[in-house]
Amino acid sequence: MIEIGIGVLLVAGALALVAGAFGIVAAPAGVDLFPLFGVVGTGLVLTAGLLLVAAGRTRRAIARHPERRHTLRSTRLTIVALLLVAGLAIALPLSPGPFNLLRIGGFPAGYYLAAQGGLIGLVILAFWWAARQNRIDAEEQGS
Amino acid sequence: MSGTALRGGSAAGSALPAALLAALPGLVFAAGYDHLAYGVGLLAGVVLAGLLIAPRLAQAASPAIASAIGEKFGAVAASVAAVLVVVVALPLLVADFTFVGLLFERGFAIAPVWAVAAMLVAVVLVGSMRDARPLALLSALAWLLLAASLLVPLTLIAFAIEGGATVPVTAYGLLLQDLQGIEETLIERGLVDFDTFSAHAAPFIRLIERDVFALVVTLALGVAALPHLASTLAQTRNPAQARFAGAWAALFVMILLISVPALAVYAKHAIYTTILNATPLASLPPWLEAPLAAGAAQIHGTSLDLFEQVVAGVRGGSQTTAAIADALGAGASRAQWQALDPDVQQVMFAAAAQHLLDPNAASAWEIYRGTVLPAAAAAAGNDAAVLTQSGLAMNPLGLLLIVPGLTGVPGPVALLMALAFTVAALAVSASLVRAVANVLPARSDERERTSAGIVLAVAVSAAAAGVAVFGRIDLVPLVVSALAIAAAGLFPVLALGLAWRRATAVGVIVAMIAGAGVTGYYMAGTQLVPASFYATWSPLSSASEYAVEEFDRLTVEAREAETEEERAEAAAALDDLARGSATRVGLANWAGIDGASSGIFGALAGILVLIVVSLVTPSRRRSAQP
Repeated sequence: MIEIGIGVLLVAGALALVAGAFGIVAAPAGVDLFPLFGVVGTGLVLTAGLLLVAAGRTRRAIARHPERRHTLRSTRLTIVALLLVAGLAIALPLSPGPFNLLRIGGFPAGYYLAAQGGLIGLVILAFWWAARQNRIDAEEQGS
Repeated sequence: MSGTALRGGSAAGSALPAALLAALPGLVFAAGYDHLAYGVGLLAGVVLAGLLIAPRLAQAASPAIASAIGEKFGAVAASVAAVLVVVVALPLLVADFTFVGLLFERGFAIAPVWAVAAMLVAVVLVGSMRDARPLALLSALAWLLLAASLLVPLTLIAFAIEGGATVPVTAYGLLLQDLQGIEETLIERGLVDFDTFSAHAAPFIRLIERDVFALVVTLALGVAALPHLASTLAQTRNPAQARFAGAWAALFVMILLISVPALAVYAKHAIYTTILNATPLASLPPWLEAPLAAGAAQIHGTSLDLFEQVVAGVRGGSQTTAAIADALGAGASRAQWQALDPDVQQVMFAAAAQHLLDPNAASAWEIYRGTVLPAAAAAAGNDAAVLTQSGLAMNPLGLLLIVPGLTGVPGPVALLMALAFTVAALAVSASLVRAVANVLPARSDERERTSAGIVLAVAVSAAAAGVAVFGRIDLVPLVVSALAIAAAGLFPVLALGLAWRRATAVGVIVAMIAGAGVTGYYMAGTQLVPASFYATWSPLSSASEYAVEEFDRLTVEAREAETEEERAEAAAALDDLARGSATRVGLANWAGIDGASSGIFGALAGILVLIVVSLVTPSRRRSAQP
């Protein structure tokens, strides 16, 4: 339940940011927060909210419909893994700016993450994904 | 566990087209940070192939893509998938055949037709065997050789630079830092041309964010849907094992891919140090000989390869520089020759004649760098006759040729690299041939392939070999375009269609046609009829105001042209403007996305169509009930 609550709050917050930016409602105390978050930031808040709501609903569905447990758990794992792949392969190479303030062993950190770190992350993710899905298959085989 | 690791290692050896892998260091050399997207995208594709698609194929009766689709969605869907497998495999085969032809022509002076013919026989033999083990062994060998051919030179170069043993793949960070310092000095001294130079670690200069996004998505989905990769991983017939084989394959591919940017930085450091030291062209370091001799690098428009062709032309009886142009044939060499300043042509001609009079006085390389290069530099306004950043142009495939010279043992390392990339090209091509041979539906006696399948595989590989010998196609765009078609046509069905219970046969068929159609239309439209493509889609184009004005001006010119000739000229200018070039995006585009990266549009269209059409057509389970 708690993730659905937080998720709804985040979605409402993101929508309020958009509404304030377009002047649909007056921003409280005249402060327009939209420029602070930007399009990407607002999108991230909205996505996080929707994901939390989906996670909460999936958890409830798993508890209520034992016969669909395998499908629901597998689908949830696939979506989480795909989001992580997208994060490592797309979001990471697209945002080297903040990381480049640091250096790792001579590398600007953003460069390092795109050249090596992200790739190592993808391989670790692949092993985790395989182990996790195999465990779900093994656990649900009996039921 | 060790079984899945071996299977993964073997799949890793044939996962990526050898021509693309060989071009990767050169691509990273050319665009620095922006082209790191290639490595990330390719590896993400291997992960998706192993974890998302291979387990589904392992559950099907046959792990071949077309039969797995046919098993769930019927014969029509299988036929469409089979056509797509051939459409994807053909350009990939062309690329690897061409690559091996080039390798043997430049490396061992063997005419491409013989190398390609030998490769055709080997590939068809290994690819159409019923037993998959010889192919698996070949692929495993390919991975071992590739890893050695990347890691051995890296270790040797790192040893030479650091003066001691280091872990080259991680230790090059300090060298990169050093390279950044050199780049800053070059910029301060005004020694770089910003048309071709970009600081190595600076992001989004050659490609902007959305280009990187489209490229990563296209490569990832394309590799995931490669006709041979997921099927190879699924051969175990056990989804749990297929997943771990996929993870191991990702690990082994990662080892290859993280050495690529390291090689690029080592080579760039060596080249930029040479430029910083104002090295005279007459005493060019010996490691630049190999790429110049292969014609894979040019200095002020000349190369050692061109000089040797001029020598051959003079030996053949050409008396004037114009006669040399005719002797060079109709290919790229002739265009390269005609682009040269007449003074440079004259110097090359005289030097070639001199070389023939007394071939033992100096080697062609000595004459080229001592006589030809200073003349070419003078014609280009490089009065000091030193190596400059803008004077040196490098093909993507040329960078790997520098590497052996930097190791200190050029001969053995060059041989190891040539062997590794030849075996890798064989392994990938044989895997693709096997995938093509498997597209025709298996008979009920559970034989994996039919003789008709083998005939088809032979025909497709022979066609690819023919194109490789007689056509000269740019390899990197060719491979990426094939991956784009795979991403658009096959990925939606393999990733979503096989997993989603509600997917219907009609949905799958329409999705494959729509996905491949959108990407095919985009690639053909932007290349073949760019002006009318722009006219149709101008609201979606990323064209600048200036370019649009120019386009409108030319359009008026074409309309008001009085003779047919003038009209044709204006239409050609319109097409050139709309098509763009390697360094300039044309007007004909959607949101500025390059034609080769358009897999992203097709994949999106395919997924949407699959969902919508499946939801409006009756589900199989409901229609199966009486």
